[in-house]
Amino acid sequence: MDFREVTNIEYMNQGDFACPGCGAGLSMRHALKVLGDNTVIVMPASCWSIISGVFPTAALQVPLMHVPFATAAAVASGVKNAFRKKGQEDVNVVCWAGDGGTFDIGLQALSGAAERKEDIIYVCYDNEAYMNTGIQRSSATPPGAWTTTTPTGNPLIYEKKDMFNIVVSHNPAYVATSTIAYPDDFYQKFEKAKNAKGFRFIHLLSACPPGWRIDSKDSVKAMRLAVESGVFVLMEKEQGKPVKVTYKPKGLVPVREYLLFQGRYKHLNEDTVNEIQIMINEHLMSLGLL
Amino acid sequence: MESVDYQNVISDKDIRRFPISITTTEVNLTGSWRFYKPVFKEKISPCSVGCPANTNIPKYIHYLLKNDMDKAAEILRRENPFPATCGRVCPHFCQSKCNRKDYDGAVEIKQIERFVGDYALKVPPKKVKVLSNKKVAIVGGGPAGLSCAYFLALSGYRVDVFEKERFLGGLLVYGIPDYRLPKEIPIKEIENILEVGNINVNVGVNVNREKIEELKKEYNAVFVALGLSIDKVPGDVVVDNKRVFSGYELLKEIKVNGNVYLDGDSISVLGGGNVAFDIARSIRRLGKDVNIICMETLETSPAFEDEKKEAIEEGIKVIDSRFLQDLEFRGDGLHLQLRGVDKVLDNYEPVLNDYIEGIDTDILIVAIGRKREESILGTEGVFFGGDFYNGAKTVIEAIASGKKVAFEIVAKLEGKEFKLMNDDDQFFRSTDDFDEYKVIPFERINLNYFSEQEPIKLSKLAANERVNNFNEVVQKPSLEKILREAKRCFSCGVCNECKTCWFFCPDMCIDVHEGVNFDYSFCKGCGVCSEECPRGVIEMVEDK
Ligand SMILES: Cc1cc2nc3c(=O)[nH]c(=O)nc-3n(C[C@H](O)[C@H](O)[C@H](O)COP(=O)(O)OP(=O)(O)OC[C@H]3O[C@@H](n4cnc5c(N)ncnc54)[C@H](O)[C@@H]3O)c2cc1C
Ligand SMILES: Cc1ncc(C[n+]2csc(CCOP(=O)(O)OP(=O)(O)O)c2C)c(N)n1
Ligand code: SF4
Ligand code: SF4
Ligand code: SF4
Ligand code: SF4
Ligand SMILES: [Mg+2]
Repeated sequence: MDFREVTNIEYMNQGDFACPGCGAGLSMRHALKVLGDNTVIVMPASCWSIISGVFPTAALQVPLMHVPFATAAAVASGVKNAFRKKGQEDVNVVCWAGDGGTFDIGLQALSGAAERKEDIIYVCYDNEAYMNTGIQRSSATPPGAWTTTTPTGNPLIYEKKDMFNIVVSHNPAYVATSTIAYPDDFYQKFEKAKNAKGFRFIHLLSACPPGWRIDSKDSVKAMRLAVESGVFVLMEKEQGKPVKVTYKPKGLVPVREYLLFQGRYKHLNEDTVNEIQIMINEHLMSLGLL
Repeated sequence: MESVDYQNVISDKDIRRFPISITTTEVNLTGSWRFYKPVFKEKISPCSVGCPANTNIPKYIHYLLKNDMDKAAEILRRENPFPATCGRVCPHFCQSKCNRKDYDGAVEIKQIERFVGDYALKVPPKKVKVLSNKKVAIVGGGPAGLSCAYFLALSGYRVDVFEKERFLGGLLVYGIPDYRLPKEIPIKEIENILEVGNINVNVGVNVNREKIEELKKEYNAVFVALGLSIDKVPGDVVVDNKRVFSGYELLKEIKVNGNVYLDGDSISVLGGGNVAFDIARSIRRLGKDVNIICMETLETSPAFEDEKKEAIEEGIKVIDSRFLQDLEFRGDGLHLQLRGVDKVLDNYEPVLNDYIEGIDTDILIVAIGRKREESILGTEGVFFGGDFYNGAKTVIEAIASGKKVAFEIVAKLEGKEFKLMNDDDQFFRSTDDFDEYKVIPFERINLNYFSEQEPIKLSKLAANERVNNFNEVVQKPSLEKILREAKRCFSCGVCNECKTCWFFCPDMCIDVHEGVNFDYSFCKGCGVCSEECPRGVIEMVEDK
């Protein structure tokens, strides 16, 4: 991607409360560059509720509604329908929720909105734990990862919930996984989501330096390595079309490299790393990537 | 963003029902969270260490890609007044150090240099006013002398050049054959050098030791760069200009007249260096049968690989591992007795074996090297440079030597100390256009931003298209090809305004415009910009 061709217009203000190197802040910055100012954000409790600033300040230049944890997709459905009644069909109504708010607490509202084919975009920025309240495990926390509630590592039997396929099973307009470490992929997918009609879902892997126990400078590198090692697969599904892997890593990086530079995996022994590698290989095989 | 008083926008009643934030987070100066801060520090690319003139290669490539050719030409000529010449004849030391070599092949810098250099031919440099009443004499108008004159003139000094021949240029104009370097190229570059002003040229002046003594009295400094003027000839061989000739003199004649009369059809050239190959290929172009006799094996002979390959394609026979033991005049021709050579020692002495062969030839051309006019060397208080001082080297080394001496002279005349920018690498640029002397190694390149791509291939005239003329062998590369190649450059250590740092800064603290500016009021010091910059330009430094 030629970054010189990306718009200079920012829809985020400086002075937000994201930690240094936060992947979630960076992801919002670029998502808005694609979505533009005709956008309303609906946001359940999460780090982003804090990032967006304390009353009466705002980090976003588009309207943002803070809503109760479990309700994001329901509120967004209502907001979109209200706009529709007012004849403002073209407003992008976007849920912007963490993994806790998506994989766990917001799942039923999400499923309902998807099933009703609500015309909204649901973005889950997945930092793989409840970060805002102090790094508690969620159903998006990967096997083996340390959190404050899994102090010896998330048991390997707790496979990360397969949100992509859960949403796909609702047959929505568009479903994708992405991460800002792959700018082309990220921009193309937000563009597609913006232009599609109906329920759209984007699952963003989003590095969290304090939660992942990494140096803030390595946050983009961590997201990139997740993809290069096959831990996180970039794919999409447009309605009526088969699932498509949008990026195939050239030579797969051993998962060890991805895991062991992060503090949250430091405790893993060789056997556990190998077991995780096998789990990843199986997943990649099921996708025809190995 | 202006802070808005929200109470003016929404009624009191609304606010109590539904609190709305309408001021900006810009009140939070998040820069105070920082322990480290990013700083913009341009560094040194390995190619520019390889180039004897330390040209800022990535910088001019950047401007080429920005379609600012004038600026590209200016940057190139800051370090080298002969880029169109070097883009043709330089052995491109730069390329052998290129970081991309370890990835998918070195960048074809030479071709890019030739392209920008050819553009620069049409752009005369800016005139410079005389800034000092001190004067410098330069003896020898080859690339070393002219480079010295150029940099002195740019620094505002008056320069008088003394040259033995009718024209300036040294071996660029009187040596290297047209099929590799059309003479119009250095002639135009010399015209451009003289455009700077302050340079007064005296041609047809043979300077000897006494004259140098006079110059020392008359001028504030004297630079001597006479090149190598005395042919080396094997012990019992005599250059008679009937059957035995000097390769150097013949090349000069061919360069001046485009032709030379030789009474015979079969010609032998003695020597294994570029000069031997150059004279052989030149004579071949005049329709003669030519062989080269050299002591080394063809593979180990010191000529450039391209020269050897092209000579053989042109039908020149190489009789290698042979030593000329005896030469006999027989009738209208010569009989050469050759001995087999097992190997050549470091001091150029051959280790002979028992093999003996005789060959008949019409003419023998000697091209085994030249040496300097020693009588001049002892002169005290003058500066020496170029081939005269360093032995038979290359054009770019002559240019680099002239440049360094120019700045040594400037320092001396201004009562300052001359300093290289780095002693280990003998690094020196006329401009201080970097922030830190640190050579960017391959490991520092963020390869995620580069996909593999083969270097461009040169297009050359086919052997049958070139063997009967002196047309340039390497064809002008197309703009499209050059830009494709230029894009391969990693731009090691030199910002090319790619905006990668800007893209990945989570805090919108980066402005890329002629370098990079950081907004330290908000920069949280995460270091992502430094880590992601593909070319190692941004450093994180402690900031308490
Ligand atoms: C045939 C040939 C091919 C070559 N090919 C290449 C090549 O492809 N690439 C490359 O990089 N290098 C090549 N070289 C080497 C390169 O040309 C030299 O290294 C370079 O020209 C040296 O520059 P210089 O200024 O030191 O000397 P020169 O170029 O020799 O210039 C010396 C100048 O001093 C003048 N002079 C000499 N004596 C006096 C005097 N007494 N009074 C006044 N003036 C005097 C001479 O006339 C001449 O103009 C080649 C050399 C030869 C001979
Ligand atoms: C109903 C409810 N329960 C708990 C909380 C406390 N809470 C606020 S943010 C948060 C964590 C959210 O985790 P996630 O959705 O993954 O977002 P992150 O903070 O990781 O970005 C929790 C548990 C709350 N605000 N509301
Ligand atoms: S002068 Fe020679 S070494 Fe220097 S950049 Fe040009 S080709 Fe490379
Ligand atoms: S990649 Fe470019 S800057 Fe780096 S060494 Fe090669 S030519 Fe020089
Ligand atoms: S990322 Fe690009 S724009 Fe930023 S400093 Fe590096 S080279 Fe310059
Ligand atoms: S990426 Fe931005 S916030 Fe982070 S160190 Fe660089 S300028 Fe500062
Ligand atoms: Mg989370």
